[in-house]
Amino acid sequence: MKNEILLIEDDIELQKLVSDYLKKSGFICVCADSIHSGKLLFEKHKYEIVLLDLGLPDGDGLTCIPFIKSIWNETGVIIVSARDKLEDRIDGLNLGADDYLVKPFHLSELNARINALLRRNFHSTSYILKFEEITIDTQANIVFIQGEQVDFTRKEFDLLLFFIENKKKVLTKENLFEHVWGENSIFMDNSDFIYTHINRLRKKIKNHTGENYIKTVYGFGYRLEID
Amino acid sequence: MKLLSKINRTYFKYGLIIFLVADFVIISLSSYILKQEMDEELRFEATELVETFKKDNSIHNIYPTTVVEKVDANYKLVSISKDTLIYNNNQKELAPFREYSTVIITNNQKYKITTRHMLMEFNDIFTLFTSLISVVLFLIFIGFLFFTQRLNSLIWNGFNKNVEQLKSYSFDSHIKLHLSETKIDEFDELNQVLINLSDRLELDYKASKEFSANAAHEIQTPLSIIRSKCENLFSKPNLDDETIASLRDIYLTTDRLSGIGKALLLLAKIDHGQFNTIESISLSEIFNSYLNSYQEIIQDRELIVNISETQPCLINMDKRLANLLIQNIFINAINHSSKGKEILIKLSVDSFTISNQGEEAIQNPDQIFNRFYKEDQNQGSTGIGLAIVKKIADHYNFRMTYLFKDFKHNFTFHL
Repeated sequence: MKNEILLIEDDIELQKLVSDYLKKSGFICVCADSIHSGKLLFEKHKYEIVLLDLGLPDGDGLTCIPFIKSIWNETGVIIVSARDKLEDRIDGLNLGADDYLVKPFHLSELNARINALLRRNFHSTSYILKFEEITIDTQANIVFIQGEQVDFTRKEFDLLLFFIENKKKVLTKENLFEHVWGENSIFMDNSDFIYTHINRLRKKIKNHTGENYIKTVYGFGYRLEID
Repeated sequence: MKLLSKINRTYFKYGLIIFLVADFVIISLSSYILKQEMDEELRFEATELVETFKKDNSIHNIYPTTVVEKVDANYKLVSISKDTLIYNNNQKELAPFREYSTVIITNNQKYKITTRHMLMEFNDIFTLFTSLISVVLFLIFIGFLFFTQRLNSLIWNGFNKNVEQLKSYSFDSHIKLHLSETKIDEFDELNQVLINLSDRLELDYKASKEFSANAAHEIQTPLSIIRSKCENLFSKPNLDDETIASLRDIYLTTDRLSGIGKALLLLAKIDHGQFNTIESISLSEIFNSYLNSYQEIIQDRELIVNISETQPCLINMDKRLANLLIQNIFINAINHSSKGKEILIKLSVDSFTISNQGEEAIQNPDQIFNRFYKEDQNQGSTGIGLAIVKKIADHYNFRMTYLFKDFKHNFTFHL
């Protein structure tokens, strides 16, 4: 069963881009371009995830969170906004939003956030992720390689999960950095930090599997794939 | 100087001049009038004397007030009034007199008739009038002081209250400027002008704040699109090197543009005082938490980080800004340390220093904190981090100093 996502975003170009991406990633995505049309859609049908822009033509997106939650409390609301989380995040989360993504965001990051939310809110969603001989238990935060439990640090775990959720996709170091360190990275000149973590992760996986699944994609970044 | 003391002082200054002039004028005027009166009296006495003299032809001289003396026929004198000094035997001194002399002819004999009156001495007049005027003026002045004091509470009370209101007024407090009515037209007019001015400024301030926020926000959606499109292209197979390089540049520049927009917005927000949740922050706690979160990188680069605290370094500031500040200077030190080097962080009550080892001093130490300045032109460094550090430091009036000593870059922040 495919999960259904309601995207409320007034920029048509971005709307198309995100919905195309989500459809490719295996979701059903329905779009609305205003609070009003979003509410109408949600009244007719329950969506597991709502992606909500804040600056909408008919008002502030924050105002429709209580409406959505009153209809179906399990719905996961992810705010996608250009407004910095330092100010709006608290507001949004107080009103019942589950997560907050700051524009410009990486599609892979959006994917990871949606998956994390689905695992948390819907028990039907499997919390066990697999890639070759690697198995991740996202509830207990444990990694098994060939059935054997392997210790990973928090950041290594986050990275590995991110790679597996976005397997076969190129992830840039900026992308990885923001995932591991949070959005504030944009204010810092430290994208090189990610090399360290990638190398450690690679080493651990290689030690246990003999394989290097995290490939360097020349000029762009990294990709998790099988030879 | 307070307006009232200014008024009092001016009043006193001009009062003194007026007093001197008035004194002089009153004394001259009154002595003139006195003399006029006296001359008339003397003339009258002289006429009386002449009448009596003509009647009984006998002379009753009373020296020095009434004197009749014979004079030669060719003695010439018209009637005259003048001041004179006459020796007073009783008091053994010269006393001022006013005299009137005239000549009459009776029985072919010329007589000179002189009548005199003693004058008040000038000193006496001067002293009398001066003290009289002084007393009056002094009384007026005292009265004026009381009056102004009374006036002070009456007039300035409302004004002073409004000044206090104005002092505590800020655009950010979201409380409209409220000035109480003073019932004095001039002050109420000033209040109205101030209220109108603040309303207008508030609107402008809000508009400019919104504009900078909107400008920064609105570019993020198009940037999102560019970035996502780039990322989609990254996964395409068979791209040639040139395309890869171009795509990468587009991608990084988009990131940079987005970062600059957000950083400028952040700087503007700090300027506007939107990060003013003040709490007591332990800097060593923050340093340690970042030390913990950069552990792997520090291990990997074999860096030695040493945090020492002579006395607890506590500071009242916004926690988010404290984190941004520490994070940025810490990362800067890590980024500019080569493998196996040492980073020293020294905290004391009123300052903290972070130092990392280096080969040579920074060429333009005062410029590295300028907006988006880069000492070395390496890719990936935007210079935004240090600009934010500077802004935060300025916001809290921290003084930053840079010192290169023993192959160490020392950045000290004086709190």
